Amino acid sequence: MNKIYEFEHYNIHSKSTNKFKTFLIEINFFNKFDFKRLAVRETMLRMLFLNNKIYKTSIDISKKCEDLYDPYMYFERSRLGIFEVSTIFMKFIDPKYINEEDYYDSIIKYLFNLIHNPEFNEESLEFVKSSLINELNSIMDKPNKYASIRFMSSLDKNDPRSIPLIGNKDDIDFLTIDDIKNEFNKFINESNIEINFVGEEIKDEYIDIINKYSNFKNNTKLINFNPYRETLFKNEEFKEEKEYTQSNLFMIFNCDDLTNKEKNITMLLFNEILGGFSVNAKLNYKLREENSICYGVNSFYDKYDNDLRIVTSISKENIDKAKELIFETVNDMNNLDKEDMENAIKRLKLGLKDSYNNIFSCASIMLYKDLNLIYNVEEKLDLLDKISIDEVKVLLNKIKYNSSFVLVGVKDGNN
Amino acid sequence: MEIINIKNVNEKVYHEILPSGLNVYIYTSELTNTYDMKLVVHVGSRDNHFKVNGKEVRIPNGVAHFLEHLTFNTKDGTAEDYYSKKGAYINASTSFDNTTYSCSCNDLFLDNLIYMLDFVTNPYYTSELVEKERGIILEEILMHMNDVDEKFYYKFCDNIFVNDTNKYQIGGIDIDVKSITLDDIVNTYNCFYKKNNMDLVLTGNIDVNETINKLIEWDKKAIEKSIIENISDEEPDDVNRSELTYKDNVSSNKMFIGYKVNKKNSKLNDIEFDLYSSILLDLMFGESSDMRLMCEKEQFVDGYVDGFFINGFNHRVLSIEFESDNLDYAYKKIDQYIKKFKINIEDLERKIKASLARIIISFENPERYGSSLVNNLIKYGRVIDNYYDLLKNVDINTLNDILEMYKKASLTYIKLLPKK
Repeated sequence: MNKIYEFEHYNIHSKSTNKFKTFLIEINFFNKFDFKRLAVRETMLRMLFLNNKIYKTSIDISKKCEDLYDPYMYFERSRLGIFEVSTIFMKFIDPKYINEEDYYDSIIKYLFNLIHNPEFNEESLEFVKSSLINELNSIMDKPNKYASIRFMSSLDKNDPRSIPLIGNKDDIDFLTIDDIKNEFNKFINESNIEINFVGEEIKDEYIDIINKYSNFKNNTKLINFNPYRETLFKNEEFKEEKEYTQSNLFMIFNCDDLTNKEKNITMLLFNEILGGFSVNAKLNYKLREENSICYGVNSFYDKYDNDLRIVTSISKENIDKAKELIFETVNDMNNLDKEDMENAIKRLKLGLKDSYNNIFSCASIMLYKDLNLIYNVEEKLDLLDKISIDEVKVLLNKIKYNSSFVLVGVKDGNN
Repeated sequence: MEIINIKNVNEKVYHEILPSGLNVYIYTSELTNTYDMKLVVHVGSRDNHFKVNGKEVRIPNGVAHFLEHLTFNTKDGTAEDYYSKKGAYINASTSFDNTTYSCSCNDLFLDNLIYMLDFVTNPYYTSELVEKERGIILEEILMHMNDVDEKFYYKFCDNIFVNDTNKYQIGGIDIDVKSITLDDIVNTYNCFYKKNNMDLVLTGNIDVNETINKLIEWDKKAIEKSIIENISDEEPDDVNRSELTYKDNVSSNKMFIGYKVNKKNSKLNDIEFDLYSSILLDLMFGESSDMRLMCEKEQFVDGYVDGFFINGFNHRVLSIEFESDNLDYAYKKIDQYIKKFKINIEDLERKIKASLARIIISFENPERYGSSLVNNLIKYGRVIDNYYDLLKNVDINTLNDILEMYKKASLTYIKLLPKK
């Protein structure tokens, strides 16, 4: 059973379900995507878990956590079109299994004590900065991640995907404690906040306890939430060489003027047929099964970015052939048959039904349905059953090739 | 049929051994709408020299993985074709010590189960299929070769193990894959793909009696049992190489350190040894460990130090991974830390308390519990029904004995430096 509890500065979206042995609370902080704040926000959030005015050092924080039966807690950042969502979450054992009075009160208090009482110091700042730069270097060591970032920055320097979500080296290097403190104040007071809460039998008293400790006094709720980006149109072929044994190919197609249903359902199906993770998806079948030129090839549709990306890794000598086969396969979507549709719908349904077996998926579906961004699982299942081949084929007229990027691997592959 | 009661958490696993020797384990839950099936064949990348029914066989590295790819082919097409039409998901993976076929679905559970058992136990291999798959696997190998961290890991394994075949890459390297023949495939299949060398793990809202009856009926098409004996040259307790330094396309200095012990030198059984080892690892390198604070305050490594175990047939290797501008200094600090480490009783009790909650939570997702059940069957050949008691009875003297083993272990390290 879902219920929204409305408070002055935020909402709590709750779901009562007996499926899980844990409770999940997620505090989602929404902000407009801002290149300049990527590094400082990531740094600030990491520092939240390092030092605290109440619990002191990171190992004291961890010890307290273990005392509370070791809830799984941390933060996660993601992008939704023109918005960035930072989520601080805590998944803890259902209080009914714990024979301790006030366990629930203690654990919620712990979470909000962590959030509201950070201790930012120079030592922690240097530690986090060094870790982030190291991670940045590791990201760029991975060919597919490197290629993805290089592609997007070649296409458009203002594309949010042209830079890792943790920021870039210069932004990280020059951060000061004052920057962190300013970011914290802005983040806590100016973010739009929506809280998710999933567990067995959510009682009003549980909500009261969250409200007692949450202490968000200045925030505004999300209203008319619209994260969709403008589409960029460009037509270019990019190429770069690096010492890798295998080449990476990225191709991007714009998906413009899609209706709400097309964005949420029809493209889901189109993408699954074209480049889903099944060996029988058209791209896999063409490139891997029929021609043996790759281990895997997939397509990814992002409705907030209005585009479809196709990604594969192949040998240098097969790059042109891979591109040719990909174009052929995309155009071949015009020859969809009933079997293609039915099989893809079945695969999608399996994934959709399975999403309710995961507490994080449950929370996410609930929130974005409440924000009117998605259909819920039951609605999607129903719409998939009614979709026609023509509706899917029509999308081919709306999908236009944009650009491609090849990271050519020039290292000898012999082991 | 045996009912295995998982102590203290009010859960149970049903266990049946079919006439062919196939072990079936069923965990039921009404709270999930997904059926999950895992068929574990006890053959992996480390099985390249063995005796079957008295006959000695040697094969190149990577055969088990190649065989896994080929098994999806049937006379009428592929297993994926079948499952696509049924709305089910099928996949497989090969590791050092097993090949596991996995299927999940929302309905037609018994049909999908029987089909999986059929296609795995009824091979269809031709020279054409071998050549087609060889091309795909070579691309997969290239993809792995692009991963500097993976290469680094295998070089570390080579430092550790002399003869233990757990050191080889699961899919083999390109010369292995190019040399695999149809005969290698067929011989390996005939040796290892026997029902008495398999475990079947099922989770979901399952009717146990109906399922067992269906399986017994299917099992009537029995295949002869086989007696498999792995041949491995004895693995010494000493490491293969005490150190190695090399360069590759990385941006920072990386290092692995390994402490190799022989678990047979302790009085504990395998389950207990691994439990005590993992508690030690958590105490030394976990989130509430002194090492974490040292990393933050002294910053002798980039970020934190990570600890994990590498498993050989009889050896366990406590492995530490880190990056640092000064690898030698970091290595000395970490090694000294381990050599001087003392167990704090309060820390131990807190860890045990936290672990007890995790046991309850492990049953939250039936599919995930199925995966952990598979891991236990592969490593120990049984369901662990007394993990709660084992934890509560952890003995500090024994823990100290295991700690001493790691302190006196044979040591190796490997450094990876940037090319530029």
